[in-house]
Amino acid sequence: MRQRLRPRLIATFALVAALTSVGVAATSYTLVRREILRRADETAARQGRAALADAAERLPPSPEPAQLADFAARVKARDGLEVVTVRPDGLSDTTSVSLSARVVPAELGQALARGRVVTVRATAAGAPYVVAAGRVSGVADFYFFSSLDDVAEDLRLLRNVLAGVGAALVVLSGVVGALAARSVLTPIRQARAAVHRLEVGLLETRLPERGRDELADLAHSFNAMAQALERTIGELRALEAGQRRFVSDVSHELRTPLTALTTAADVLEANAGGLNDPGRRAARLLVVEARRLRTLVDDLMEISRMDAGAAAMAWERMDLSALVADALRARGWSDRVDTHLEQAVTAWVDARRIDAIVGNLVGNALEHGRPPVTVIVDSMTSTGVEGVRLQVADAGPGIPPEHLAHVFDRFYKADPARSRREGGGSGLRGPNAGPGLGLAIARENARLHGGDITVSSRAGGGGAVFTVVLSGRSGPPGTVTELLPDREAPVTTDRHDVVP
Amino acid sequence: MADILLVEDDASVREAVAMALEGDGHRVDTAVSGDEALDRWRRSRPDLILLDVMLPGTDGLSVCRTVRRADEVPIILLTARSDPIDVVAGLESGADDYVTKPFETRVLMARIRAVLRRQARPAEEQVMRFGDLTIDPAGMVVTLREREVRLTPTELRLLLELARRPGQVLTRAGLLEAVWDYSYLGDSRLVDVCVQRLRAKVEGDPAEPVLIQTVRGVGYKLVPPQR
Repeated sequence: MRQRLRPRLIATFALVAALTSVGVAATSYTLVRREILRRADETAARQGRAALADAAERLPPSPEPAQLADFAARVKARDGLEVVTVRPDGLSDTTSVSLSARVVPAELGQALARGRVVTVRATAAGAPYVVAAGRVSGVADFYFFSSLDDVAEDLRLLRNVLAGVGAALVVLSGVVGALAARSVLTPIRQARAAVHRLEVGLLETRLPERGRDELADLAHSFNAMAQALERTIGELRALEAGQRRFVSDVSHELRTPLTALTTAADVLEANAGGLNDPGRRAARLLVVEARRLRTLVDDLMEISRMDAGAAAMAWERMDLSALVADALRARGWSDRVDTHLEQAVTAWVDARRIDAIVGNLVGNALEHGRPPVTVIVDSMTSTGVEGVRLQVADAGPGIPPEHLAHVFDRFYKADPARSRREGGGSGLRGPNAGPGLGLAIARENARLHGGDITVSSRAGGGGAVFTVVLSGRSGPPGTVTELLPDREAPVTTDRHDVVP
Repeated sequence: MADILLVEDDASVREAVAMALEGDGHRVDTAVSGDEALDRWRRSRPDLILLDVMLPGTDGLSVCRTVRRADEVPIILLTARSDPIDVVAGLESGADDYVTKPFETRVLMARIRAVLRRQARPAEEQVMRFGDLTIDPAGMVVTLREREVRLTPTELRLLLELARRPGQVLTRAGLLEAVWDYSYLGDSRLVDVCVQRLRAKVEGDPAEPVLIQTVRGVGYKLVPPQR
């Protein structure tokens, strides 16, 4: 915008100035020239008449050439005119070295016959003259050449002055155009910068409202918009923060009764032997549901920590394959999955979060997919991407395409028509789990590593494939490891999820 | 098996945990506040304290520090991961371990058993000397420049683990397993904070440790002083 409006304004101003000055200059030049030449003609006619009268008075009929030359010399000396004389017998004479009877314009000869003084402008011997001609009968024809060199010089000067002034006007207009452009462009540039600042989230951005012109109007409108935006976004943020805090507070509040509940349920389970059959069944139900509730609250607390940006990373450079093998072994899954773990695939990770991802993905595959469940860990050097990959796949029915985009949604029900109890083949959680936060948390965990999780379903019902890609960068982002002399494991200050 | 002081302000949690502890064969005394906890501890001198961090009045960390000044009794903190009080702060106050609410009963019981095991007299071993430091495993006595250094059982176990293999680097995971009985994904901050506490007691200058050294990227090692 800046690059185009400014030259356009300058060019417009300059063009207007140029047209104006050409018009004015041409008009005035034409008028002045006509007037100057008219005066020159008049002077020449007057001088010619006076000289003719003089000649009629002083010269005898058929004067001697010497007498004629003498008279001509006197006229030349007095009036500054060059004189060419032509006697009735055809003999001519001249006071000039360059002018002679031969350069006399032909039409003058015919005019003379009618017996009056005529003037004509002509170029003779390369120079401009006004020629006044007249005849003294019986004496001679007289041609008085009045030089127009001075007049031509004046006109040239006038032309130059007009051209110079015109050019100056054009330049001046260009400067005025640039100034005008700046006065318009500066506010526009400010507006653009302000829009950019809004764009990056600086909602308190405002434009100065100066004057009462259209630009001030624009600034005013902009400010009104920015204010409305700030207010709306502020409200939304407050609302969102409030909701997050609510979830966090609720989870927090649930924690204490839940501790009592699950502990009591564990005691009940340990003592279920002393109960009768309905009592045992009730106790069993209580225990299972209490544990489920605990998982749910744990997940809620975890995800509200993540939402609040309070999830701390305990970065360590570790062998991902070993980590995955340990996670499987710790859950007793080593014999239930086929593993293809590439040797020495190291990455900067938070071991707990990787463990959680493995637990969730493999747990899902074992519960909903069909064997064989395969777990692959490899570096992605072969694909040209720097990073490491963890892939969990099963041989089950896969995930219907319409659900693929939603499997990481919180509490997403793959099939709302089915109750979570019935679960069903397309269910993403266990028959007793219902839709949950597991995959949402797994994806957040991957993202905390600067990576992500994607899901696909193999063609022909070949099962669901979850792929975790972690960045292969050489160090964890933004840790304080190097600054701590006494701990190479980045310190997890674990500031928790207390929403301010 | 053990006399346990359970400090917890919520009545239901207190009762449920007490039931579970008793079910596991322990004798349980309870307190509902920090002040009551200190009072009970002074009177009954329990084998182990289960301490809720968030308490009305004197909070759990203050209780922990007060107890630590006079007693090496094992302390396990009951925390919520969302408590504003940091786990690290709790461990630095002298706690031996922690469990996060809502916990699984079997996890709590396992932690309790692990802590109590550390109090048992080590089977083997003759007296070890490292410069000014003398470790007598049999008597469970550690002296620095002829003066007895009071270590908690956890600190003593950690020191013994390091002292048994002088010059050898021990990983955090290995130490977590050997000292704390965490076989998988233990919190390495337990080791880090305990090493700090140990250094404060046995190093001439804890800020410039020479005896227990950090090996970046791996763990810790005990370096016998050169003569």
